[in-house]
Amino acid sequence: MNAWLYLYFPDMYLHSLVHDYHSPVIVITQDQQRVVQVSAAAKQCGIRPDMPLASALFLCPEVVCHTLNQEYAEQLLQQRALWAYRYSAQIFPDPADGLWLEAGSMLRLFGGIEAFVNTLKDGCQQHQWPLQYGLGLTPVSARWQALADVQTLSLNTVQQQHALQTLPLDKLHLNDAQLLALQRLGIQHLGELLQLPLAETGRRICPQLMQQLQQLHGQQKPPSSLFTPPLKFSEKVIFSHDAEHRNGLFFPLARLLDSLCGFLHHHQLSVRWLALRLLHRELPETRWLFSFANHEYRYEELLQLCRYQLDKQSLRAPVTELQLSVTQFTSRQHEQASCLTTDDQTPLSGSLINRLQARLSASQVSVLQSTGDPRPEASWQAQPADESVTDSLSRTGDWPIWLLPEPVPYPPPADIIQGPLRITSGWWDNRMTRRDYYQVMQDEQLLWVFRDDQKRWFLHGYFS
Amino acid sequence: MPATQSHSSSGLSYPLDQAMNKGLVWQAAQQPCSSASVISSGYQQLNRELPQGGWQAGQVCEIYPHRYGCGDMHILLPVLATLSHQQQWIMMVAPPAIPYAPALTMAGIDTRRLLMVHPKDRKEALWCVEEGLRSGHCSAVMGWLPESDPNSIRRIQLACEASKNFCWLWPDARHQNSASAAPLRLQVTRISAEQANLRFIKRRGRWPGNAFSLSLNSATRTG
Repeated sequence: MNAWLYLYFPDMYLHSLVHDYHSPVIVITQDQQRVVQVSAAAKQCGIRPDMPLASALFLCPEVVCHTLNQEYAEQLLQQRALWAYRYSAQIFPDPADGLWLEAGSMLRLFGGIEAFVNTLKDGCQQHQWPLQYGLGLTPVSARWQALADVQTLSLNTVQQQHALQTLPLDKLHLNDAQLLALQRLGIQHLGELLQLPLAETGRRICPQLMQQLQQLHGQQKPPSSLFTPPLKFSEKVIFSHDAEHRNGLFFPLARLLDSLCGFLHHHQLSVRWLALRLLHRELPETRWLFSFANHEYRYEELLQLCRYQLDKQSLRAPVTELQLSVTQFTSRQHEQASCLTTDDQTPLSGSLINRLQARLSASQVSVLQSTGDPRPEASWQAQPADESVTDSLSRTGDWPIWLLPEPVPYPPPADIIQGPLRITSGWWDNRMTRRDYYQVMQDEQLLWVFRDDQKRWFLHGYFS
Repeated sequence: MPATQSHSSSGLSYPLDQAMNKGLVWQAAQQPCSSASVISSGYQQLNRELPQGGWQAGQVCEIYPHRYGCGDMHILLPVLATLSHQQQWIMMVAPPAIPYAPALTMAGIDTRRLLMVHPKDRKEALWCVEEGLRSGHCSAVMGWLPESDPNSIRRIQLACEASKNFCWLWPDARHQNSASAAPLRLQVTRISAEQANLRFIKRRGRWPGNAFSLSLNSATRTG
């Protein structure tokens, strides 16, 4: 069955800006001449879209103006398409501010058109995105219904036809000249326009409108190209008021992380590092790299890790824009252990190490790795905790539990309990060692001392 | 608890109420539940002295060695060997020296489970101990906290109780004689190469008891 759903995000650019809902904010054209989008508070001051900027400033001098960045607007639409990709396999972004979703093949999965639309609506509500949707048998029909906000939830031909007939023309984002020409003819609704011969409409009013009317019943593919999700995550938040403290970054970052987790879930990937870019007004941008010891994909964990990492940073200057990007991913496949493995092979949890390293530093967290070298100081290595270590070799003997990092000079001992134990090794790396080790009891401590080949005594460990 | 009720209803506060609200008074009604997991210490003599017949999860044990190297780690080796066969970390926060792997392996400890953390200061050390306990990824947390105070020990005890993990702490020896929220407090001195002298300064659920000597070579493998 052919069915198309068009999602129209009114004032998408404005809503993507982090702003306080009580202050008037407007988005203006790139040449800073006209108002494009208006926040509710600005609307109350009397500012309307398409008004000259000068009039807007006259009506409300304290209004916050944002110049429309075309590149960012496109990026926003890509973000929405990425989000919608969870609900439909075929997405066609409409360069204005909407998306076409192929709905026909998705109905069985979601259990009917109503359930499908409700799932999408709930998703939008979570992100607090205003949404108008339209359901149609062709892409153009879906778009026009979305723009007029009809909310038909039936694919029945008769009902669809009825909905189209009553669409008011002034809601369909036609250009001013087209609308004026139609109004002069006394045509208010789409139904009245459809009664006219198509060729006449094209000749008298506008060839483009004729094309769209043809597509209304005929063409099945939307006029834009299919969206393919990139395997690269990059999203940003623009602040309407500069963030002066790192705490102010946390909330926007949480939103970006939520989006990242959706991306990771969809692709079944996990990340080991996040790159953050902070833009300042005057100073050059700041780049932070948050890396983790282990792969992570859970929202709560990532949020906690970022919180710890943020606590360690300080801002050089107020931030105007925050960008989160990840370009390297690992698949989650290898994390699934086989059913046949024994207990011994299941990996230890990495999230504790992640948290410790995020709060402290990577060098402060380590695991022991035995090397099998007979020399005590060479027999172990502190390994970064994220690397796997092999089991240590078992060597019989009486060994101390604590080893000093460096041998300490020691007076010749009196009360030798046991010894000597001779360790001679290391001819291969120019650190030749020839020592006699003794267990010495002194002041209620059992010590491990040695005498080297120059007859000097050193303390090297404790039996504890 | 009638005493606490009167405190909350009348607004009058008696010194005893205050002390109880702060958790400074232990009441017999708050017996530690015996259902929490208990692991044999590996030493029969020590098992007899421990309130539940072994080390109990969810109870912080403070250890006061007379000096380094007096056998305080040795008495923990059997229980650590048992715990190291679980798929969880044994976290060592600020160990006083390098744990010597051959000795630990000899005692049956899987050294791959040992996670060493070297905090920069007191605050970080306390955070690490608490995080380790709360994370649910550690079977035991050992912390050498020379700069700890009674309040931080109480926090750690609460975290330990909530997570039902094993926790041993080496606090500042100066606190040995002051009050502490830890249910177990153990003093260790070494008599000879094979003998250590142990004394419980505090045992929740039992009287402190007398000093007893323990033969360090008498451990039986429990795991």
